[in-house]
Amino acid sequence: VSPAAVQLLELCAYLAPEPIPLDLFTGHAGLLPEPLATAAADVLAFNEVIAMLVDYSLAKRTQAGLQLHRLVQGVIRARAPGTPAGLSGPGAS
Amino acid sequence: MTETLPAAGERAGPLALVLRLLRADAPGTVMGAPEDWPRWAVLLPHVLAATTRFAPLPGPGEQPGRTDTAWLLDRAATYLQVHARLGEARPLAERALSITEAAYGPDHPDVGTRLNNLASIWKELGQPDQARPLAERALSITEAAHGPDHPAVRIVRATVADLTETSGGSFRQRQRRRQEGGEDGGV
Repeated sequence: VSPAAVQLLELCAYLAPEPIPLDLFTGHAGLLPEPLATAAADVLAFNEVIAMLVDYSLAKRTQAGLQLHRLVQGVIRARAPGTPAGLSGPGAS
Repeated sequence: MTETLPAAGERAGPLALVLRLLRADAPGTVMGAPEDWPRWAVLLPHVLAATTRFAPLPGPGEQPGRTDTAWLLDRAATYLQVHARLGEARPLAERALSITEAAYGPDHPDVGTRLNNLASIWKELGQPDQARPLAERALSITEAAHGPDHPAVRIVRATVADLTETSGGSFRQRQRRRQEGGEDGGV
């Protein structure tokens, strides 16, 4: 899974297990950490990030947006309690 | 009553970042703005999930996500209020108030806004006696912060007047007594 996909997963883990509208990310790419920010600013790149999460069965894509199972969310939150969102990226070390 | 968006924390964690995204995305007017409601319907479960996970540190000072959480709770409460979900709205408005008070102290204009909105919910719950002291305190804070002719003051004054009519009470008399007695009128 790419660093951008990990960052997206970490954010989604703190939202509800309901569909998350994709423009919550694409509409505010400037607020996101890199490399997710660059991906979210480009439709094709962001689609690839989401496709990766779907391929790994970490999320499903519905018409209303991206949806994570609550167990997946719980595991991600437990894995990285309070970890800064940028820490998983390559530039964070 | 507008509030400026604080700068994002450089090292904010994923929860603080999510709160920031939600705040940047959620429309702020809600009351009297039905065009805001479809987006709120989509965001509400996410706002509730993220704000529930936010644990404010005791005492004043900077904490990533704190002012965003207070704002989101306040706006979510108003969204629920205008959809007649008052029982769900009240605890959110109370939490918004307590977080804002802890962050800014008791006299900040944002505290006045939160008090006013909570008072409005209590009133619609049919509890004007709960609402009145909150609205009166909101008016004192907002007048002190903005002067008597500011739009925010007019909104709070309307809430107080509304409550005074509802109960036939005499807010002016009690306000005068309080000023003469030098009481701060805290809740």
